[in-house]
This record gives sequence, structure tokens and C-alpha cells, in this order.
Amino acid sequence: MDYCEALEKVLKSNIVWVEAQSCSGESINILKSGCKALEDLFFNSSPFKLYSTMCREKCGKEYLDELLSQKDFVLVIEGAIPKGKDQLCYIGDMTCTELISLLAEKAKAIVAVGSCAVNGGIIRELGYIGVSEFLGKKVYEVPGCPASDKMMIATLYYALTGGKS
Amino acid sequence: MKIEPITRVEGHLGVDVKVENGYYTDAKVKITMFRGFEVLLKNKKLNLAPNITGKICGVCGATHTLVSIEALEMANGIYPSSGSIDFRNVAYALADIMYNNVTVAFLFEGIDFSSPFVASLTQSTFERALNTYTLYRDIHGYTKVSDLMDQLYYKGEIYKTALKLSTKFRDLATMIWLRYPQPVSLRVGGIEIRDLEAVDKIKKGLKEVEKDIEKLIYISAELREFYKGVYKDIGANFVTYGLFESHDYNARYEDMDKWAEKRFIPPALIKNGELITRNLRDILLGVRVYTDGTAYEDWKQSVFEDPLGNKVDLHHPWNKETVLKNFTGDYLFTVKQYDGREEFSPSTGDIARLYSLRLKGKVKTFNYDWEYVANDVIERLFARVFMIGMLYDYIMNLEENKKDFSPNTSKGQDLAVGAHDAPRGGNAHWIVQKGGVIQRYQIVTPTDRNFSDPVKMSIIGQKVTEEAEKFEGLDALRVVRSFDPCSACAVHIFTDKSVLEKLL
Repeated sequence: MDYCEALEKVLKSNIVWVEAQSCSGESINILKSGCKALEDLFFNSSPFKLYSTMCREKCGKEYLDELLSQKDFVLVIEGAIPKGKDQLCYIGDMTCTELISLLAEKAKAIVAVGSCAVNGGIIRELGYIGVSEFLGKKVYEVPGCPASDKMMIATLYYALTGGKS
Repeated sequence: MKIEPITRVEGHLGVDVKVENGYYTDAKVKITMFRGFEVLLKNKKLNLAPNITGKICGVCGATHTLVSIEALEMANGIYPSSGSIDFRNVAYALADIMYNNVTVAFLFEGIDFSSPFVASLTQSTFERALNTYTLYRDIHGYTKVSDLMDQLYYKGEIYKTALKLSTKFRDLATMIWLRYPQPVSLRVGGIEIRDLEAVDKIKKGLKEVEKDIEKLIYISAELREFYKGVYKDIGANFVTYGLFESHDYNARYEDMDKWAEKRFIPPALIKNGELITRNLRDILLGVRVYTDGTAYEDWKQSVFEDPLGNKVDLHHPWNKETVLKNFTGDYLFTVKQYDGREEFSPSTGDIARLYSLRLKGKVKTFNYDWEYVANDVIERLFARVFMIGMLYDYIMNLEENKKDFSPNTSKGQDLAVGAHDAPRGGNAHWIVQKGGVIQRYQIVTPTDRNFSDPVKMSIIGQKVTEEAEKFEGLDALRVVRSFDPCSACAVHIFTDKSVLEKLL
């Protein structure tokens, strides 16, 4: 069983994927064919859903409401967090930091993908930070610029099994 | 009506539109994320620039590295040999251009033309699709336009084919780039080759998807016919910096007009359908950036002449200094093009490239002759897919040099510029350096150009095609997506006035 199959077996929650100060490198890296569990998410043919700006059907408020009404989900965050400069990143009417804070409270697991989300990455020098530092708690982390699609899948699997696998 | 965030685009975008009497009467495009790469580059060692700028964008994952490398080649007086040029061209054709184009056309834009969207939002159009027989059904297999619209949606065959091709093009490009996005093989004056047979393997890999590429071209040709005249034509004003160096490339500023004109797709500035110039140096000297009345400090002129003694304007990127004054001014950032007489706002992208080629002769791929029709939503989508076929032919017909990879040297200079088309259009980096240290690094991306006016011009005056009770702004979204915006690239330092609106 490879990790694509493993992901398919453990995928029992929606995935909410939020881009903060990102280049979309991880979004585009995971938007690949070859992993059925993920393809089904992209094709909307999985019972579970992937809420990502890169591939969602709806825009605007409808999309944000979908995001915020989620109850059983894994939160994936891509991109750095503009600590103390919240206005530098908006998703709809909410700052990225507001949205991430709200979602982080409800998420069953949080995964930071890519070096920017892990520690601010290339733009840390400008004062931006990683998810763990922002939330003040440990999160699953997939470093790399961009993070490898395979490692992101493996970490999602790990997060979905509650870190027990 | 505010539509924000916009999905199926790169990054953080929004659009505010006003609709009156069935027409869009106002539009304001927003980019709502800001990082600051030009600040990051200041006072850094010049040789770090390609690596740093490569991280601006993960969608057009090679363009900034390539353009930065070309700017450094001019600054350092080092340029690649024929073998390096060929390998760069093949990799760049695959990813960024081919992979990006199939992704944007079908995974982003295509959904807006799929049956669930068309049937629920534009019922009479869907009625027409149900009754319209396709023109090329022997190639793609769909009898009616509605049949292919069914397959454009997420679970559809066309969506699945596009995802497969997007992955394939990236994987093939990685044989040369070694990593994508953000290639690691590019070097100033060359490229690190790990596999001399990579191009042959790439050709073999492409051959396997030849039929898929042909199908996608003819599927988009059906949409081109079906939506002809539905979207607003903003006129034949275009700029392209061109694509793929010839073996004559020597990175020298004084020869830029000559080597750039020999690119596979030559540079062109087109106004009202007429060719103004193919001289890339002149096109680049005509770039103007305006931030009047914004939150930015004005800058003083420090560069008065280019290395050839040509006048450099105060608003030219070589002079521009981006210092943030406060968060309460206006962030309006506009790119204009000076053509020797006046300034205007040409759009950039695949139609610009095809137009440039068409002025030289026939533009044909997979037995389809491209002729210019309009600068509108559906033509942008078609050109995007058609370009995949053009580049398929380009790679398949290339006889790459497998021997000459040594860098060549000429004379370096303190003022340098790199300019090459990204998938979305002309992308350029301007450098002012001293002793190998960056004094100023300025980037003007295609999204900066397309957002300066063309997007707004395309929305304002557009007839609303939506008939459903609940208005979703479908036409405005189709316009925005047709320009393939990349906000991560566009707001590397400054941003649209929308961020200011947010800050206020």
C-alpha cells in the first residue's frame, strides 16, 4: 500500500486549505494526477471535500461561508503569516490571521505546508512568521520550497490518523 | 457587488463590479496580499537574485528565475552556448508555458464554461449549446457543444485529461529543471545538465499525449466558435517580449534588438493592430510605472541614460524606488507603454504572442490556422490552448545541440535588464548594480500590465449574460480568469489600491 492508497483509506474529513502570504507553490504542487484520493477531491467525486482557492467552484462570500461552516476538517496552511501586519493579507473580508485563528480553533489537525508556513521561509527577513509560531502551538509541518507533493500527502495521512500511524 | 476571494486563480484576488441595465458599468480589481521581494533584494549580492526571485511565484515557477538569470547575464557579461539555450528553451516551453496554459484553460477557466455553470446561470446559452452541433467532432468525439460542456466540469473527461497533461508537462520539464516550480539547474551562462538525452525522452513523453493535446485544441476551438462575439473586444493593442532565445543570444544590451528579434516568438509592440516595433530594447525603455498620489514616496531621478546614451525616463523601472510612505495613501500602481509618441496600455499574453508570429507568416498547429479575431475572453482562452500545440511542434521539431554548454564572456554593465514572456505575458526585471551588489531591483510582471487597464476595460461595457435570479458575476469572473492573473507575481512589492482600501 503506498501513501496515496493510505490517504484514501483514512480520508474521513474535509480538507480546508488556506493560502496566507504564499506563492501557491504547494497548491500547484498538490494539484497533480497520480494519487486517486487527491484526484477524487479535485474531481469533487470524493464524499469529502477540498476547500482550496485553487480549485473551488464558488467565489466570494459563498466560498468563505463554506469554509467557516466546516466542523470536521484538517486545516492546511500555505504561506507565511504577517505577524502584526494583518492588513497585508486578506481572504475576502477577513484578514488571513483572523481566518486562520478561527479555523485553527475548530480543526482536528493543522498542517503547515512549505517553508513559508513552517517558519516564514524566504520572506521571514521581512518580519513574517510560520504557523506554529503564530498559533503558539505545535502543528504538523512539511518544510520545503516548495514542499514535496508526496510529503504533503504523507503528512496529511499522518494528521488524519491523529499522529498514531 | 463584491466578489472576493476569487477562486481558480493564483493567490488573493477580488473584484468589485457595478451593473446597470444589463451591463457592467464599473469594475475595480483587487489584490489582497502583499509580501515585498524588491525590498528583500536591495543590497543583496547580485548572484542571489535568481534564487530569491524564483520564489516569487509557485505557479509560473520558472519565469522569474529565467528572467533574473538573463538580467544577470547582461550585468555580468556572461552568456550561454547553444546547448544550454536549447535545453532552457525546451524546459521553459513545457513548464512554465504548456503546463500553465493547460492548467489555467481547463482547471481554472473551463469550469465557468461547463454545463452546471452554463445551464444554471445562462439558460438560453445552454439551450443554444444543446442545439449546436460541433464542427470538429471527428477529432474530439463530442456531437453537440453541450456534450463537451458536460465534460468540462470537475468529474469530466476534459478536466481529467487536463490534470493529466498538467502533471505530465511538469514532470517532463523536471528532467531539465531538476525541480519545478523553482528550477535548480539554471546557471548564469548556462544550465546544469544531468541527462544529455533529456530532450529525446521529453519528445517521447510528449508523443504519448499528442492526441490529448489535439483534442483540447479542437475542444477550445468549439468554444471559440460558440462564444464568438459574446465578450467585449478591447482592441488589438498588445505587447510581447517574445519567447525562447536563438543561438544568436549574447545577453549584450547593445545587441538586444538583434538577438531578441530572433526569438522563436519575436517581441512586438502593437497598437491598433499595427506593428510599432520589434526592438525589445525600445519596448523596455518605453515602460512607465506610475504611483502618483499613492502611499509610496516619490523617487528622484538617478538614471538619466541607458548604456547606449538613450534617455531613461523618470518613471522607468531603472529609476523607480519603492519606499512605502504610509498605509493611508493610495496604492494605485499603473504600468503604461510609451511608443515614442504617447502612452497606452497594451495587454499581454498568448494572443499578443500569436499576433506577433502572425505578422511574420502563417500560424498553424495540428492543422488549425490561427487568425486574429478579437482581444476578448474566449479568444484569450483559445490562444492559451493553441499555444500548447505550437510549443508541442516547437519541441518536436527541435534538434538540440548536445555539445556546447560552456559559458561565453563579454563585457558586464551596471544597468541590466532581463525580459522574456511568462505564460501570462511580458515579464521583466531591471537591475542597478555596483560591484556585484544590488542597488535597485525592479520587477514588472504581465499581471501588472493586464491589471493596469485591460481587465477593467474588458469588464466595463460588457453585457451581462447571466439570466439566473441570483447574480454571481460570471462574466466578470470569466474576464478576470481569461487574463490568467497571478497576484503573487503582481504584488511582489507594491500593490493595487485595494490593499489600501483594506488598510483604511
